[in-house]
Amino acid sequence: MAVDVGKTELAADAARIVSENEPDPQDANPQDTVIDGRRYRLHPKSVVAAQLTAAIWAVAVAMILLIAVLVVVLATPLSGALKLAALASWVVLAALAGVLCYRWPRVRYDHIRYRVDDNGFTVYRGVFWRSVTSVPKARVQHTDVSQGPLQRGYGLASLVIHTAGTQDSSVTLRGLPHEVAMHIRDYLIDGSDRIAV
Amino acid sequence: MAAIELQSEDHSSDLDLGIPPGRDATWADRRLHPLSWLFATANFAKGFIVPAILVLFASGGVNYELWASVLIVPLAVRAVVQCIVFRYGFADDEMVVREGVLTKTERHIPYARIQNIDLVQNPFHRLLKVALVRVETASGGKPEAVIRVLSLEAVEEMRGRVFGARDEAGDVAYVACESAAAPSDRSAVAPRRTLLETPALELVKLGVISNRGLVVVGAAVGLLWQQDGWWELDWTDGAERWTGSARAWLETAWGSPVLVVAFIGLTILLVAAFLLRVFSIGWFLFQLHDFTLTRRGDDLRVEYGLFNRVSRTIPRLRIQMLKTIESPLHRLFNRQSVELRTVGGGSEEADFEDGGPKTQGRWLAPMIPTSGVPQLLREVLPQVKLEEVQWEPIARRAWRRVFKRWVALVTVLTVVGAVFLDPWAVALGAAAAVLAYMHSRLYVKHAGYALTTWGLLLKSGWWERTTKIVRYDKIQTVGREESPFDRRNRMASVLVDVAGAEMIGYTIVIPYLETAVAADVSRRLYEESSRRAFRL
Repeated sequence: MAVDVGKTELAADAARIVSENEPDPQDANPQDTVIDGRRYRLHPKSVVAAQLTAAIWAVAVAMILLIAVLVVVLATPLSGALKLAALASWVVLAALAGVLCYRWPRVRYDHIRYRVDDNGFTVYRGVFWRSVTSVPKARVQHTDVSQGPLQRGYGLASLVIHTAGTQDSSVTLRGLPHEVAMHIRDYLIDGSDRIAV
Repeated sequence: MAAIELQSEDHSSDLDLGIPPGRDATWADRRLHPLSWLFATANFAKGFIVPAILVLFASGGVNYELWASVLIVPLAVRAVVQCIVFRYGFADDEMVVREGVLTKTERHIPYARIQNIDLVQNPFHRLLKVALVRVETASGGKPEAVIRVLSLEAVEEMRGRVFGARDEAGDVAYVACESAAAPSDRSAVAPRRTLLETPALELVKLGVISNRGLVVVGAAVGLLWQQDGWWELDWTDGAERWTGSARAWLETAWGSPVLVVAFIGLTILLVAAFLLRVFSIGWFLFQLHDFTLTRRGDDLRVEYGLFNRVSRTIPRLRIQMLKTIESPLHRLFNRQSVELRTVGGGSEEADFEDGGPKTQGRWLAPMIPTSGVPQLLREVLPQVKLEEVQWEPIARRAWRRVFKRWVALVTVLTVVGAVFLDPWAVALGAAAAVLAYMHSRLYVKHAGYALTTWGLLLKSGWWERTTKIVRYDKIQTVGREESPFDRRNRMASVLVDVAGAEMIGYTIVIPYLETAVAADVSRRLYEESSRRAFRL
């Protein structure tokens, strides 16, 4: 592989695929700047939204488990020690879930970047298994911008980019500011240089 | 024109779906072959007749289960009526299909969206000179339209209309990107050239190479499974009786029971392997009988099958990916297999349900002499010059990672084996480790990729060697991935997604690249594919 020009630069680029915390703009009002080939973070509020979503799920599952545990404790002839163990493990699990719900969205947020350039759209993500996915603008079949109730509350949106591919038939990015998502969508589907498929 | 007028009077009134009875509706003026109802009912009854006969025999008389099957009669009538009301036709730039009795459907399929038109003919079809036609678009899953059945003239007309009209529209991007390499021989009147014919002997070789016999065995087991009582037979007892006398004789002759058991086991294995090959050979002789690949202009046509004759027209432009396969047995015969991937209608169930045979991948050439591969690929992708490809290696130190992975697996198995079975497992483990070393070295040696002016080539495997070829304009997304192990070794993989790929895993993965190289390769792929328009 002939990597002659800018080898070090590329190495540096690759080394900080997603880990670096360069001072990205916070996307306060980024309509004019987001399509500039620079890396952007998601909206910080997306962390809160993700935490809340996770918490809602965690509470629902925890309640179901709690009912199961209570049934075991109250209605089965198991020994007291076992019942205590069941209760204790529920408490431990619930505590773990609580910590995870609080921490994980933050960690994940720290590892997600997106970039829009002349060629198309790129997402960087992954905490342990890191990936970069680039969708050329000319391969975008259609895009969706959607908002859930929680996202609407925070002015966030999800951007889904559909391609004709198999694995990456859709690339989803949750937690963009709504205007930014619309702006990227408009840019990607503006197909002046595209021949209809 | 009279017929068209008639149609519009017939149907524009009852097609009151809010669809304005536009110009196109009137173009749907062609009916199915007059005998279509026969095939429709036959196809419909196929699913019922076998169970009905089984029930009849199993119960020894007419019972409620048979009476229940009378319920299918109205459904069969419906199938017949559907045949009668089915219409299709050709507008300037699209095909129109109207079907349905109560729920009417009018489907407009632009010629530019049609991926291929496939024909299937079973012997009855052939006898009556008709064919089942599948019109496929990129929608994936099932074909856009299954037309059961058309006369062969009608099929030729359809192919002419669809592919002819598209040629006039001009595949600008395609012509532009290959104009230098190939003289334009895309005129519709150009003669059809045969690129490949596969005689029976080649299919026998293919049967020897392939494990397709397993399919036959699987089907046989499935059939037996449905017979009651089969599973309750005492197999070990029967086997004992068969092998018992031979065993006794051998044991007295050789004096070592272990040796005899090993001998008998080996014999059974060999016989099974032999039978599997025989089934394989039979399967291919049957399925791929008289396989021919022809080309006219930009359209390739593949025809095969003894019982069900399949004829598949694939525009070159629609090929998403090419793959050559060369197993050790292929090398023994000095042959390769070439597969292609297209979009849409490719799901195997769809093929099966619609009366066609199950396709095995999509053969471009099931067996071709190795020396003929570059020539064949050039016919399909004029830019490919397989002999001149400059292969780039993957990271050389990757062999250690491959080796480590195998050593870890071997170690676990060896320890378990040594503790629970036999200390000799350690010797076996050592032998496996040597093999793992060989494997990891060869793996790295035979892996490689090449970025050319027109696309990406990827080769992998040393035992079964494959080469994948994809043009930049068929690349949908470009990815780069780092696992924690990758990161520790400063490596990354490059992933390329194409349309019509296998659902499990990325079809095209360049593993174990140096991080900088991976970044460079993915950037170049991204830029090259961005520069080119994609046409399905």
